[in-house]
Amino acid sequence: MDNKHSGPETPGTVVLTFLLLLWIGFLYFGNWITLSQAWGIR
Amino acid sequence: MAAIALPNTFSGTRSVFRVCPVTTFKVDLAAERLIIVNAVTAIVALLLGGIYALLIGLTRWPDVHLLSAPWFYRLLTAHGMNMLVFWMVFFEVAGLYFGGNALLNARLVGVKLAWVAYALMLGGAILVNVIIMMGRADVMFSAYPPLKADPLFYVGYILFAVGAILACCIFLATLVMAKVEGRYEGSMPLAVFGLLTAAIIALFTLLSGAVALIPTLLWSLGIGNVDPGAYRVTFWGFGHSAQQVNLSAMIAIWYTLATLTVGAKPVNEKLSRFAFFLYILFINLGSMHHLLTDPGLGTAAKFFNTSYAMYLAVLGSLIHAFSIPAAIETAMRKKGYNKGLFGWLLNAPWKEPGFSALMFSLFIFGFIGGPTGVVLGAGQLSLLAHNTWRITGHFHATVVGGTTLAFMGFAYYVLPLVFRRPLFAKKIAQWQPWVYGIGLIILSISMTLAGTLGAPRRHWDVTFSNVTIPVQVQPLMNLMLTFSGIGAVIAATGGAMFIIVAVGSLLFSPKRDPKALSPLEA
Repeated sequence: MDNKHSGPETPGTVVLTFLLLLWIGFLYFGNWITLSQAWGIR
Repeated sequence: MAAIALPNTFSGTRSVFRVCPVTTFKVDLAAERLIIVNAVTAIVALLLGGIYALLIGLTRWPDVHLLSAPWFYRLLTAHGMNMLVFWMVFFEVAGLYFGGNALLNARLVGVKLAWVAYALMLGGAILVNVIIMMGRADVMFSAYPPLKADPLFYVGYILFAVGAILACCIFLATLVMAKVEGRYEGSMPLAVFGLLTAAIIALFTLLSGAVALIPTLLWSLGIGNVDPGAYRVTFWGFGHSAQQVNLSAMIAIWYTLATLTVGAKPVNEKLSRFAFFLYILFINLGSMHHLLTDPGLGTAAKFFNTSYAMYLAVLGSLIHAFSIPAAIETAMRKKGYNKGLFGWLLNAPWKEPGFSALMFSLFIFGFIGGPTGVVLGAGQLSLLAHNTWRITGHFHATVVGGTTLAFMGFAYYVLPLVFRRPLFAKKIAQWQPWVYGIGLIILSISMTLAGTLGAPRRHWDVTFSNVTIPVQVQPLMNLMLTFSGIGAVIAATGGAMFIIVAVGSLLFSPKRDPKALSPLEA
């Protein structure tokens, strides 16, 4: 068995996907916060 | 050109194929003519829609404000129809015929019917364009009643839809016949599976269009009435679902371009097929983001859409969003580009227009178009964003930055391999995806931000400069409107570069068999 590396085979894509999920979360919850502030919900 | 004739089951006739010396695909000559004529018509629609886009962009730029109000709405209608419907569907039909024929080594079934479908689509597209330019259909793409257009506008819309339904049926029959005649073994290739997904969604979409538009045609003739609420619900079964057809076709082309440019193979084909299957079941409910603020639709439907269907549709997209870059990374690492996290990306063939178009399309769709769509698909957030320019920013990042750019990248391979015309002005082709992509990034982000600051969509003068009671507009919104104008000019330049390469190749490049897979060397 080839044990040259133990991480994922596509580490770059894993990082890019993580950044994408963070970005979606930022957009989603950022908008939620803006919305709740606009409605005066604290 | 090597040509072979293969017997057809049932009819006793023979289909003549040429064998591509580079890809070794067998291309049915009858299908090839249809692919060429549909693709060329698509490019003409793109040219018209692009000219209108530039004029509209220069009108929404507050300091330029080029067009008068009637011409703004007229050209906005024509822009929407040519870009969202005619450019996309003509190119997709070319793609369906290519996928059903060349990728499966199969013949196209019902060639005469395919010409009838083309004639219907062309007649419908011409009719719609003429009626709009005569000023008798300033109703925009959605054509919401009680806005009423000339009956011929709806006739054109319906003729086009009937032609497109026929083309989808021909594609499905071609797949069945390819299996019956044993033209391929095992499962159909992933790209064809993606096109099959697009065709299935297209049938639902076009039938929804018929349900919305046939009563509207009768109403425009003075027969019966149309309920605007019912129209909105059925129209968006067409209007937004048509963009899901584009989405499925775009992803099929992403997989194809990844293979053509770096030799990538899907990391897990079954998972990718499952993601396409999720689209068939759930993605059409994305159309509901236009209806989340609509009082005509019940709360239960809105809850189901925003809570369940949306998640499963997005799951499909996230699977593709991982699979395609992962396939590219795997292929590049196999070639020895193993340095660091992103050595494979930095050393990728960025000068190849097919690759740069693929990556810009992936980035713009993945980081701008898709996520903004997810946000707009939340009911409560839709209350804030609906009918603002955020919606326009979202779909310029999906349909234009995503789908159109992917189609352009694919066209760079189609021109030498199917049209057998080497690329004209290769330097322009190399830079085109960069110019178009950067223009669209500026355009869609500034549209989104202007919308967030209150700019409405489909509005001739959002600054209300000539009204009696002055309206305070945020300076930042004005800045974003200006940026969007600049983005529109850059994107229009990129669009013009594509047209120069495509039309120049068709008119000025000598017809010959390709020498290599790369469009720069073919």
